[in-house]
Amino acid sequence: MSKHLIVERIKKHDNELLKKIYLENKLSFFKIANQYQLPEEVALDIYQDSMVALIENARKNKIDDLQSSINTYLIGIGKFMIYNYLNAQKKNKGINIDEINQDELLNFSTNDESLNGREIALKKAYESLGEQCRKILNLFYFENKKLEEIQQILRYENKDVLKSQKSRCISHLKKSLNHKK
Amino acid sequence: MNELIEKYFENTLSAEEKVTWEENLKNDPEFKKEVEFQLEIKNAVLLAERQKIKNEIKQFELENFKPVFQLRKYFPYAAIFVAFISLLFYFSNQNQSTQSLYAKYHDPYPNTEISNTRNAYQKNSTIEQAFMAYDLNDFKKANDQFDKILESSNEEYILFYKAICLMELNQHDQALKLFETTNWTANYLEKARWYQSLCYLKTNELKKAENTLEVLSNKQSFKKTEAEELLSELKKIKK
Repeated sequence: MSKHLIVERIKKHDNELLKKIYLENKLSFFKIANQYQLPEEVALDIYQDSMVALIENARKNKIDDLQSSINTYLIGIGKFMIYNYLNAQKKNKGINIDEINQDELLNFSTNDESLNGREIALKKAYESLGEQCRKILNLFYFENKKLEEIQQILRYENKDVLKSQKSRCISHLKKSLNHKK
Repeated sequence: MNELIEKYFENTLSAEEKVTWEENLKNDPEFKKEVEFQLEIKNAVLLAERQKIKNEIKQFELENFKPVFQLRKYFPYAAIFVAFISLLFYFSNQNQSTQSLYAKYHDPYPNTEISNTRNAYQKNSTIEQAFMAYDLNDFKKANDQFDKILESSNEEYILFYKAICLMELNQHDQALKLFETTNWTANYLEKARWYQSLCYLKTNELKKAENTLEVLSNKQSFKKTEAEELLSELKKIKK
């Protein structure tokens, strides 16, 4: 399978392929994690976060022109995240990372702790929104798609309908936040 | 103002618009507030989506244990074999072994959750199918169905019945994992501890079995009498 096709299939949430990538690289990642004597749960958590970052970057169209293979890229992210973790623990011994955009991954987190109180409330509100709202907000804020692209993906006849739908979704969130107070 | 904010998130602000953007941020508190709000939404959405992806990935890890479960097709034979051997053992050995204690006290917990009298509303729901199989002692099928349900829910009673299925399928290690790691509420805590004790008999962790049984027999609990009996028999064996 070509690299391009793999990235396209990741964007389309191809679970079988993702599982294959996940399982194929797990051993190599754990070998590296072992070198730094990471506890197993920590290593597993970091590996899963690396996988999330890979999927996130694919959906954000950030790896359309990837030079290396997907596997190399995933392991690269993993190494960087280990480095981040060790840095936070002040045990950094320096890891060599190629081709990873370090700025983006520096504050990568999948923990609620990275949010403030309002953001946690917003996250809950977002998760309980209707499907259409979630789709729009996901494409706009997570996948960083432009409104025109979203219009095409979700098949809106014109941009204004989409825009007003999006503002309604946002005001839903706003209301839920005011409710909380 | 909305247009400008949209373009900011799209990363399509022109040089001119960037200037207006900066000015608005400085001079228009309403504008600033709205931008900050939407940045918070962005963070919230980002994390929600990441957690959703991560949960999907965690499933890979769970599914990956399944190859072990393929041994299941041999379980009926294994179960007959074990039953035969333990019967032999029981009759040939007056000293009760832990295994026969298990056989003596073990009885799968009855389904008290889902009535399998015909119910028009959810005849085909996975939950109903699972408990139907459970009632028919088809623990392999019930276990598969519980797995499916657990992909989308974490209900305590499903975990409990799954653990019982695992015991019936002779996967006591797996059952123990569930008993030990689930945070049982009062509804299930004592029942879970009872079956957990029985699992320890199977895995020959007698010290652990005694501990959980002692907790049970000290309380006015589910199977209190049985727990006391079993505990004393267990102590006899150890001597």
